[in-house]
Amino acid sequence: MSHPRRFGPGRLVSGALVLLIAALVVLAAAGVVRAAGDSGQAAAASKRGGTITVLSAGDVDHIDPGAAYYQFTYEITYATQRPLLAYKPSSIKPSLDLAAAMPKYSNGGRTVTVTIRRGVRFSPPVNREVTSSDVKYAIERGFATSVANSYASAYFGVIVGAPASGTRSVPNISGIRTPNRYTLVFHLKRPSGVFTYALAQPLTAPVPEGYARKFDSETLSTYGTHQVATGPYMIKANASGSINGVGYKPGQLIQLVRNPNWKASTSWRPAYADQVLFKEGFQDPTVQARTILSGGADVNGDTPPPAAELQSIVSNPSQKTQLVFTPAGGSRYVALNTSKPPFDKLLVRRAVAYVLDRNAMRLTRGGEIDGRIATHFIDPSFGTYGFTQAGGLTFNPFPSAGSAGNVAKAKALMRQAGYANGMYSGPQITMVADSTPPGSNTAQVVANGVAKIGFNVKTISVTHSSMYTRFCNVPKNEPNVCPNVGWLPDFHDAQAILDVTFNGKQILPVNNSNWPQLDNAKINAEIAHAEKILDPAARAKAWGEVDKQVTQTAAAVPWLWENWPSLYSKRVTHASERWNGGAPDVTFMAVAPS
Amino acid sequence: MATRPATDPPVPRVAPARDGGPPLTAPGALAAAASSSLLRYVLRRILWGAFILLIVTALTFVIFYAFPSADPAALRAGRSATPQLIAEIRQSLGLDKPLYVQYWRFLKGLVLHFDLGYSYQNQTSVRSELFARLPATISLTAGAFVVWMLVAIPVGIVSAVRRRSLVDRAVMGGALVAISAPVYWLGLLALFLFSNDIGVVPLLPGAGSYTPFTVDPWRWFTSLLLPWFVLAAAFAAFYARMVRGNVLEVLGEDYIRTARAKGLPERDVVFRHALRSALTPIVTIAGLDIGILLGGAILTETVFNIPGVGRYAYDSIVNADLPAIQGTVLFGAVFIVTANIVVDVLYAFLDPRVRY
Amino acid sequence: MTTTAGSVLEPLAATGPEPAFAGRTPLQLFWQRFREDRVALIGLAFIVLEVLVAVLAPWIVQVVGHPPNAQYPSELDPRFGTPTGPSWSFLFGVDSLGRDVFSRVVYGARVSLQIAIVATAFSVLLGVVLGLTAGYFRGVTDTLISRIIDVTLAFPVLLLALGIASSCSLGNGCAGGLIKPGLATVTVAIVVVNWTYIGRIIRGQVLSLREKEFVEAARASGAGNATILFRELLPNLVAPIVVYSTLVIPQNILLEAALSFLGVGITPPQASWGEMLAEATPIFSTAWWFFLFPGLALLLTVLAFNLLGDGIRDALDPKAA
Repeated sequence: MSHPRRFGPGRLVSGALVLLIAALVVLAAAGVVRAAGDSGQAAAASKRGGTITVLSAGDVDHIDPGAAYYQFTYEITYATQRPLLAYKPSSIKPSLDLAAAMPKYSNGGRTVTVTIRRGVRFSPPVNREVTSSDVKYAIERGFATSVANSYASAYFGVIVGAPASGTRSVPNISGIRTPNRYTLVFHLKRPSGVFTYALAQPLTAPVPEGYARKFDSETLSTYGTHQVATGPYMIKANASGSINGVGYKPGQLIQLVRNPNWKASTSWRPAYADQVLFKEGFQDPTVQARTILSGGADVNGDTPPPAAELQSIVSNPSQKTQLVFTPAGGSRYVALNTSKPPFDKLLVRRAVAYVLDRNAMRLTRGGEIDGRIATHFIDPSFGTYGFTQAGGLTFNPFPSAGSAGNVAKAKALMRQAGYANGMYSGPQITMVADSTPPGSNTAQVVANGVAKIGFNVKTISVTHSSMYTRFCNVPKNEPNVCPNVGWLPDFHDAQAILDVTFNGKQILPVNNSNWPQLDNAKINAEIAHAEKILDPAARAKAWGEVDKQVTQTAAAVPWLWENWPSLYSKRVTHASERWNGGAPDVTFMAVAPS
Repeated sequence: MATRPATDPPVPRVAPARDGGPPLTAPGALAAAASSSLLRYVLRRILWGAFILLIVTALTFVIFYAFPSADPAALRAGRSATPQLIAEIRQSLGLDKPLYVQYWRFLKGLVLHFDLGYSYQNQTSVRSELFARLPATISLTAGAFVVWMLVAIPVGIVSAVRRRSLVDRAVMGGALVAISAPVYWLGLLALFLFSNDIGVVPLLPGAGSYTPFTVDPWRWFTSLLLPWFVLAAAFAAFYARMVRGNVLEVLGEDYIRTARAKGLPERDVVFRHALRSALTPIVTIAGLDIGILLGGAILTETVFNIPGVGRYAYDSIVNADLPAIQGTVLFGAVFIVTANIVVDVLYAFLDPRVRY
Repeated sequence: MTTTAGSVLEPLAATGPEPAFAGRTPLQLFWQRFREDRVALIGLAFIVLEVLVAVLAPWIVQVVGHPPNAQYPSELDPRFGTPTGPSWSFLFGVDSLGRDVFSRVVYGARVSLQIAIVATAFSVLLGVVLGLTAGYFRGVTDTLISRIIDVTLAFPVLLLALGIASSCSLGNGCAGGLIKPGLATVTVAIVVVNWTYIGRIIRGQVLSLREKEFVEAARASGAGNATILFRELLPNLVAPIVVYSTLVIPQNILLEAALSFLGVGITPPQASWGEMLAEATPIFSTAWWFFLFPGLALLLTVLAFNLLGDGIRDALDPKAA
């Protein structure tokens, strides 16, 4: 406001008055904000404390955050580590974590600049502040064979100087520059539409080189059992930093305690609980579910409650609210090995796609409550980021009544392929399946299904990890059918669903995730093209097209877009990670004061 | 013919390390005549035991390395492996060397450093894992032992004394049923009936609630009650039958007839004279069973999710975790061989006829 | 020393007066005593019934059930995939794949009986042959075989069986594809862990028998080793062989079930009671039928063999009944 009068001391006074009032307003506003913050903090303060218990059947895949690549492990990794970017529970877009600002792209998308926060420190025994070279080292060690990160070359191979294959020692990647303590500059070989997502992977969580080098120089790095944390929690360790037998008892228990060097003001993670216990070895999913319902534990970590429990929970009004369904974001499918007969023939694969009873397969995992029957690969939760472009719910190249399979159509295709009567007449085919339910049951349904068109299936039952490490991930040893495979996207971009899994260039001699070994030149070219697109709408269109084409090759038969059920106990607040397929986010869970 | 219970469930067994000769029944056995010959015998048995353990490790090596159910290098490398990593691991673990070289390395590590190697699943020391899990297995075994002896001995005696009565028939019938049921079925049934999370009558903690004694003694106790009873059921039945048979046999002996003729009350006859010789073989056989159980009651531990040695053995076999398998088999064999030696020495001490 | 489970055994005299002094062969004596043991007869009857069921399984299943490996997803709750319980069409309900539990229990009898007979027979055969050899020829052979027995016995039984079964249950099996996963592997595992017991017993018996006079006499009359072994020694060993076999059959059935329960026995989709119990474990608190019927089948079969075994042992040696 101003007095339209003569200049002079009056003006000075009015000017001062304006300033004073402005200052008062600002102070009042700040006061209001602080009060709101205070009441928020007061509310938070009343939630602080307590112990959260997570139950699981199995163990983490790798306790080393630089090697972790498993939905369950991420529940621990993201609670103890701070990658450059991270996800809030309900979000599928990354937020800032260690980074102080979103990455800046320049030079046609070939240069990416990231600044990191100040004042973030490692947990004991390292204790010092995190610098940009810690992030550089963290990414580099992913390429060393002693760490052997699964997605390092897929998402970081685009950096200049990144090795083409694993190196004996931790390489120095020239394309990662650290001009000062708090800045990172990435030089990329070509623009990448997913590099921002890559920065949200645990591989970018800082690792102190001086401390870690000696562990990383062993054949299999032991940094995992000596790791330090930057997140709100740390795995309980002894004075010298070793977690084995202290906070990490393999197959039994992982104990998270507060990281004394974590500052709440640098992070949006509330970290209410004082302690988080991951109790492993609970093989019986019914026991898991009942324990949670009775309050003996707080959430399921890696096993969905069994169908019978879901049935009773859903029909019980007081329990219904404890159950949360989150779209897993990926799909389950049956992979047919296209590198050898009989599934090298398109018509035969299409016959299989027609004959499989997808409804029965879904029943093995719990029926309708488990999710929608998949007709292609991009999951409905992607919406207009590729799902609609891939034809949405209507694109179904192999339809049948009730999704129960169409034997007649399948036989017709077999006849077209040259088999009289529409029945296969060649040698036995092999299938490697999970030895435990529900995977074993799904495999049985598949065997049953293909038997209808004359296939005689020899089933080899192995543990889930053997299935991958010994058979399905190794093209040399791969059987004709891998029925228990599926893919969760690493981030919310269709590339994460379709690239590693169906790109002919991504076929590896071991640790292969292109299980059908699909190597279709047209599809490979489409993928290479789609990877470079930066415009979201164009990307969605391109990847939708890839999905359609892959589905039509019937190299893999998708059958489930899964909803992950999380069961929470009454005393905790829900916090499911939307981006991690519904896994619980322990840093947002609070135990109600009792 | 003496019978042998094994791990779980019990399986027929013969009297140990003797030429199928008669078990000890003579009352008031004499002490060793010359202690030096006893000492020599003990030494021989220990040496032989050590040799057996050596062969056991060699055989385990052959069985699990020669028929690997998974590629150990790939397994250790995990899912993120690259071909180089696997090759490197193969080299560092010495898996590219011939079998006897690998065995020699293992033996050297074992004898010189008491090192059982590192698990392929999670690189933890097998030895420390075994020792960490031993208390749980000991808890399970000791408790089950107490329960089955407390049940079997009185039951067997009563059945023998009141033979062919209704009590005898009913009890022995029940015993037969208990032996015939698979232990994991009984375990699941017990959980279904009595566990407080899924049970019909919520009474006792269910599977997975085991806590070590040092952490919470009461919970340790209640969480083990169901496993104790389930594991003890088959053994109790077995031993009750054995006690009954032994007591009946002893009661038919001459010296018992003499005691009766002397006018001793039946109670004295049974408890002072018959019992001692009837029970001695039972106790020694129980010693053998404990030895076997300490190697891990796999089925019971699996059903009740008790983190003991048996569970570890099962997990490691299923995951083809070779060092862990070696460690658990050796562990179990050590207990068995030790128990055998102890029992043999006891026999030798008590019955000087048995010496060679 | 024998044990019994309440059998109603009466001494010979109770059968009434015999005309003159007609002698009885041991077999006749045995049969007479056995015949009077009602409980053992019940066991025998059950086993015979079960053998019939196993042999006639395809027809039984055609009449009262459905093919054991056929899946009926319509029997599962569409919303939750949970199996339904016993009904007129599915007598014992269905499992989590919608397969007929009744049919699978019936077919499971085949597996258990095959193990009971074949695996036991092989382990007894192996044990008898080696035990005879060791006890009769003594010397180096005896030492070698005895030491092998010692070493085998030092292995934790279930671990050894588990190890062998697990090693051979992958891909083409072991021994160059000779031992395929499934029934063959389980049989081999059982034989390897079990032959030592009968071996030791037979060896002990032979050791004492070979000093007896009738053997001396046979040798003096110029009989060769083979004749002595088969004509003189073996007939005297029939009793312990039979007794031992009856003891071990129920244990072998349980051992196969345990191996299948632990996932290294019979391969899917073949039905085995132990494997069905493994499948039932995650849902046993709700799908009680799936858990109850295979378990009962196991229990009753093993019980029947135990009763039969008891009866045979008592009939052979009626001292302590």
